[in-house]
Amino acid sequence: MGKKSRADAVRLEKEAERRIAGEDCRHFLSDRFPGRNEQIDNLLCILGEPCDAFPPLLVYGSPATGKTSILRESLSFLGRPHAYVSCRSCHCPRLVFESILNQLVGHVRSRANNYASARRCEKLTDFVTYLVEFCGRKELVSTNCGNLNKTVYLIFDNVELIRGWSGGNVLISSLLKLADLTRLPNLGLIFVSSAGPDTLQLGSASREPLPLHFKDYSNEELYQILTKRQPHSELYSFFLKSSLAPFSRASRKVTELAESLHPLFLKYCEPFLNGKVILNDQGKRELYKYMEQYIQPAMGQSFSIADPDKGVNTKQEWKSMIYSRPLAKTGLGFHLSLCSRYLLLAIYIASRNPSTLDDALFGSGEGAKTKRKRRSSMSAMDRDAAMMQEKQLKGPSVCPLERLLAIFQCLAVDRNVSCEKLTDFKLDSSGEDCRQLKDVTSNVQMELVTLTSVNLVLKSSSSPLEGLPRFRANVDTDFIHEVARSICFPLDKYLLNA
Amino acid sequence: MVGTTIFTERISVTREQVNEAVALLRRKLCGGSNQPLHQLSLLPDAESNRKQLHDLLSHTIVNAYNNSALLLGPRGCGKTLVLERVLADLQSAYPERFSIVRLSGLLHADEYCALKEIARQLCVENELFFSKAASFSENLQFLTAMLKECALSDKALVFALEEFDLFAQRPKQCLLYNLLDAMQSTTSQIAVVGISARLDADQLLEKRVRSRFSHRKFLFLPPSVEDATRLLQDVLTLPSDSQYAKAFNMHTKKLFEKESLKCLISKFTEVDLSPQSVLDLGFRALCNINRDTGLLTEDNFKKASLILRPKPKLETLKGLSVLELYLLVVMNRLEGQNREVYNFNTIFHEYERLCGLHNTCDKYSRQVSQRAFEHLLDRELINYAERFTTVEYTPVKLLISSQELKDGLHSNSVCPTILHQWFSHDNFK
Repeated sequence: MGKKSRADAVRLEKEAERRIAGEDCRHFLSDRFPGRNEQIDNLLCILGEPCDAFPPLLVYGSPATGKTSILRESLSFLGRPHAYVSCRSCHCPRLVFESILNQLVGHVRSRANNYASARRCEKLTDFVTYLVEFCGRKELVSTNCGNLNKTVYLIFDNVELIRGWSGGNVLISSLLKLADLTRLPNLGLIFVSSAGPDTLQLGSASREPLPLHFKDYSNEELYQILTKRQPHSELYSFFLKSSLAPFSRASRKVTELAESLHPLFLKYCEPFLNGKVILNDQGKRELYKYMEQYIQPAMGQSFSIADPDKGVNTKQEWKSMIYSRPLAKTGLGFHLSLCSRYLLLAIYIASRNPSTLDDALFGSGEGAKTKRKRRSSMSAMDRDAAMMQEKQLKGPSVCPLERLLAIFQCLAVDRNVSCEKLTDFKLDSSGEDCRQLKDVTSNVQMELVTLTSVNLVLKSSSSPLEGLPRFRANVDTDFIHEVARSICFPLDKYLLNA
Repeated sequence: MVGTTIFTERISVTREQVNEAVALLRRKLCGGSNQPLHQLSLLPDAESNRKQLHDLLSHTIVNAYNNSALLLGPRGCGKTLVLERVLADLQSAYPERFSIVRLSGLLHADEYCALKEIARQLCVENELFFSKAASFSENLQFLTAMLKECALSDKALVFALEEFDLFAQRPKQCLLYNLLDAMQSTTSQIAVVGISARLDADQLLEKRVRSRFSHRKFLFLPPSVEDATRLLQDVLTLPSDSQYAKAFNMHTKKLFEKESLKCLISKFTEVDLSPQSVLDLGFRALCNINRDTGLLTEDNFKKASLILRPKPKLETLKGLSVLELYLLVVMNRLEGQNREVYNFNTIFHEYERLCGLHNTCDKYSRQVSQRAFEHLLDRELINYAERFTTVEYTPVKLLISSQELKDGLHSNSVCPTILHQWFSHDNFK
């Protein structure tokens, strides 16, 4: 009798402990991640107890909604064995497999082992074999409750990137079926993706995973999150009340907002720190007024910062980085030789204007006049203008090399006189005078190659009939006007609908 | 009457009991080929298929008739389950009389991998040493030797090929040819069972392979709603060995008799009627169970069905900022005007024009708009129509229909009223 009641007491104690652990986790997480209560509840009830069976789970939602953090925090808080791999940093199947296996055996790559993985594993077949071997290990899965094994969770982050890999679709389907392929009952598969089940292209070769959506933050939730990070919470919350609403109309991404609001907050603090304003109702109103003038310009500036988590991965982004900064001041921020400036202008004009206009612009000058004289009805002119505008919005068109060189030559001849004035500009590296510009030599072609290699000019596929390469200007209006101004070139005169 | 008294009074139940019960049910619901199989009852169709397949395979084992068969049917209709159960039955009926080789098209479609895997499994089965470094030809020799050896010792080999269509899509279908060819000879005793979700899987076979295949097909089709509901109820039943289990079963039975739940399930299965999807519903409902009372409620099922059939596009649209919505509406207008190609430049131009006409307060600079445009790309609401070099000139296309956009505008809490007007009146200038 006494024995039994003691056993009961022990059991009850254990039970209470466990209940507290579950509740604790919920409190801990909802404290750390405001505005995510619904998602946390859903996640915890799907995770269940340590030995519960676990079907594949797809956690999705737009970037910066706390998918990965909540998942990892909850698993480590609950003390569940898990391995985490991001398909962004592990950019090929081999790295993904090896990273998971390393984590499962607790292997750390270091100098001592020559940065080698626990197992070399290139193919999915090998991965499955090793997984069976590792997930059965006693210290990882053994529990004190009967013969059941603990569930081992494998988290695959950024699975949407796998779509772009070669053989990616088969890989996704096989990962989804990993529990069946390995015949392990205690394997929990979690996929984290910014693309939803509709766009992830899970393919027909798999069962559908359970979906768990992390929705975007509402304005109140954004407010809670942003104030949480700040030490001067009173001042900051007041600041947010005035500035969050306009900012969140443009972007709801929490990382971006935090980044772009920070400089504005420093500005906001200035009068307060100078002692001009005291923090009372009157002062707050003054601050509010003071702020209003800054909000609009700050927005224009701050959202143009390159996304830090994206990194600079395309040449195009580099290009925008190169001249987005210096353009704020005057000047280009980097040197271009006179010849290449002209060449750039020529290409710009060539890819902007239709080739039918060339004669009017660079010919004897008659063509343009006769064309203008022709009368046409207003509606037809409107239609023409609309069409021209449409065409311009579509971006620069390609032009063949010959036309380009011809325009370049015309420009050089046109500008021959005024070039004398520009002697303070550095010319070609050889320092020859600008008469050199007249003859189209290999020099110019060299410049063209240079411009192409720095991506200011794009070489597109050569035309199928003639076989000559074709080019297209890859600069925006601000930049080309800056170039034109630097050599006093009346660019507007040469552009249709400028 | 007795049942109702049980219900009205609160059953005292410890959390441990509930946890145990939930764990058991979860294991049953998760299904898959690797779970304890005998607990799950089969649907009538599947049951007859099981009997036939059982006969077929036992024929191979006992009488050395070489056989091949295909199990075809949509996903989640119990193909693998039936095969695994037949194999488990046979294993208990004829232990040591046959061995199983399991291959999956996802892993072993390539002949080299497949042969290696076959050799490995045979080695494990027969307690031989498996060399990883063995070459293709060595493995092939090993296989043929094994086939002869097995036949001589009156031991059958059963090959289970999952995702059979992937094997058939390999050029030359080497593996299938070799297996089915070996089946023809008298010196071997094997059965080949393929599983595929493609109903035309046997049509994929080459002529020389098809002629060696014995054209036995077992079709697995989705059951009726009633059958599926009954299956779910069966699965959600606990072995009645305690007070709590009895109460739970009674409660579940009552729940399944309710008209509203039947309605919910039949609505849920309109999209996908496979037993797997019904079990998924049960699983998700079980996750929502209140672990203090330990009983399933209708609310659990309602919540589960909402979560399992998400509307991702609408959810995404719900979370968009005002500026992003503006851009989408402008794009929708451009599509309405039959513009085939448009890019960020065009969109921004149109946006500026409309803003100028209506004097909205949401006038943003080009850079801010471009950032919003990139967000739309990230969320896969729009996509590049072709690869170009600069973001602003690259032609894009909308990935949502105008109906979806309309619903999205209505569900978004921050959407300004003027946007509704822009959206609904195409010629509103």
